[in-house]
Amino acid sequence: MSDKIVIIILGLLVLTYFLFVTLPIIGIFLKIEPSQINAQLHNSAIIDAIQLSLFTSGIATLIALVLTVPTAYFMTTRNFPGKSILDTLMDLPIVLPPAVAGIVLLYAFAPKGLLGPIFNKLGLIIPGSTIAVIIAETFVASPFLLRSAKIGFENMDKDVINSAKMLSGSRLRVFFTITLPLSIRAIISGTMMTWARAMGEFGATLMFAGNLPGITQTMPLAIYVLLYSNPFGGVMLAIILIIISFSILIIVKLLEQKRFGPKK
Amino acid sequence: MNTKYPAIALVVIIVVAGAVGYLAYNGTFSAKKPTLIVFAASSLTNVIANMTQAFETANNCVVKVNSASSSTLYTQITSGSPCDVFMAANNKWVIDLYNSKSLYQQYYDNFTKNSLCIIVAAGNPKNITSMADLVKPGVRIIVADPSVPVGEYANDTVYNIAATWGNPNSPLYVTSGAYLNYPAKFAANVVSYEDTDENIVGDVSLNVGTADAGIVFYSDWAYGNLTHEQVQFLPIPATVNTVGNYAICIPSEVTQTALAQTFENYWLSAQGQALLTEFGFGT
Repeated sequence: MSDKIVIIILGLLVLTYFLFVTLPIIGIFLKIEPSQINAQLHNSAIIDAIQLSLFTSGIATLIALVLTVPTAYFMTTRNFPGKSILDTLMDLPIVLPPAVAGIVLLYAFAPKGLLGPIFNKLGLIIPGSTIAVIIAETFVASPFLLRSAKIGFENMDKDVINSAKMLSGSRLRVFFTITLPLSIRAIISGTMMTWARAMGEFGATLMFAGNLPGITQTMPLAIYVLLYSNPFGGVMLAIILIIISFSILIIVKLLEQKRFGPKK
Repeated sequence: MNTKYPAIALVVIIVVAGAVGYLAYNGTFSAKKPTLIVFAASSLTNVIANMTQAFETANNCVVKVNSASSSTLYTQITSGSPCDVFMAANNKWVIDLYNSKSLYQQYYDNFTKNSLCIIVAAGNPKNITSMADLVKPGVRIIVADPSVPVGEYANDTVYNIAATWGNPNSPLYVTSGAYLNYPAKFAANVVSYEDTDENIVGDVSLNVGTADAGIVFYSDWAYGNLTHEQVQFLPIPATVNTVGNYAICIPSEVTQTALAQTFENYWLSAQGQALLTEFGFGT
């Protein structure tokens, strides 16, 4: 086969893939009816869903940050038996189908679930509450941050860390002045991915938290429900979600370019 | 190690997985029998499942049921999903197709009815005995979203209560005042608006403490009796209950016309109607 044919075939494959991903996105933007935008932006169901999504995904991302960065550091600096199994378990939520994530969370956190007795004592009923949304989002999205932070810690120059440890007595000081700054880009890009994933969480939220406007009805759930009662509202929300996700991905891309791009 | 091998192994794994899947899929439908695609409201799932095997044998075909809320099915049909028979839990979706001239021979039939009842978690933890108990503080109820039939009917019933038992000017007013301001009190106790009737039954019977009660179709009660489920059901009096009309039709894009007509005729026949009655429909 001549090079020319190979190039043409590859070119067609690339073009097909570009169109495959971009056309559906372009398609929904063509559904915008400018006359309706104003009314939809004052629709309380839409406003509530946006506020709830921003709030819950923000909290979920903060929780993920606090929990996964130390875990990632622990996993990259320590060796122990069964480490690879534990490592794989930590990644599991990324590949779990949403329905499975929903049901495992129910059996863990519902009043009659594994941890139910504890929450019952505290007078807390998790399913049906905003807390459940945050739990579902954290469960599904945090592994992205864990993975990214691990890569950040793994790629650090170990000699720099070791020298710093010898020069300074405080491990905490080395972590905050050397380790963290060196891996901060990986952590930030992982944080953004986690945030975007949390914002898009649908299945586990629907099963575990339920669908109640203002309390558990996040943007993806509202899109699903609105599509049948107020199709244009659904389209509007979908577009807002696409714009937010796109912006987040752009930021991640910029960060990664600075990290892996050509050296100045 | 040569870096080529992992890549080749990966391709082989994907191809083998695909081939096995394809063979298994084709094996299930090995004899190329005609396939009847039925779009059915989720409340009809159990009653249809009861007759499909006999229907498939008698007509040498395969029946595939796409079960979802009637509004979801309607959207799928109008956006061009192949469908031979549509059975909706609210005839308004079929009438909509009729009005847009999208039905085969412009024909549909209101083939059965369904009313509502209360579903209560196993053991009835909140001791619910009436619609008044649903609005007591701390009771967690699950209903369907008003955009799907069972949710719309439940909403109608809540407002029927407000207009009768909860209305001091009505001769039916319940003097204890237990039903005053009913819609607001009801909404305050709702913990989730589900998208199908089946999901409400599922949530309540999962029995992990998510919900104490829900409002579902009477056909769920009949089916619960048939299968001896753990959940309990309570009646909703006819004065406030909502009766929904189910409709069956053949969309104009039908591909298995003769089979679709046989299927439709079954539900209109005495045998089909008896089966529906057995499963709690028709009243």
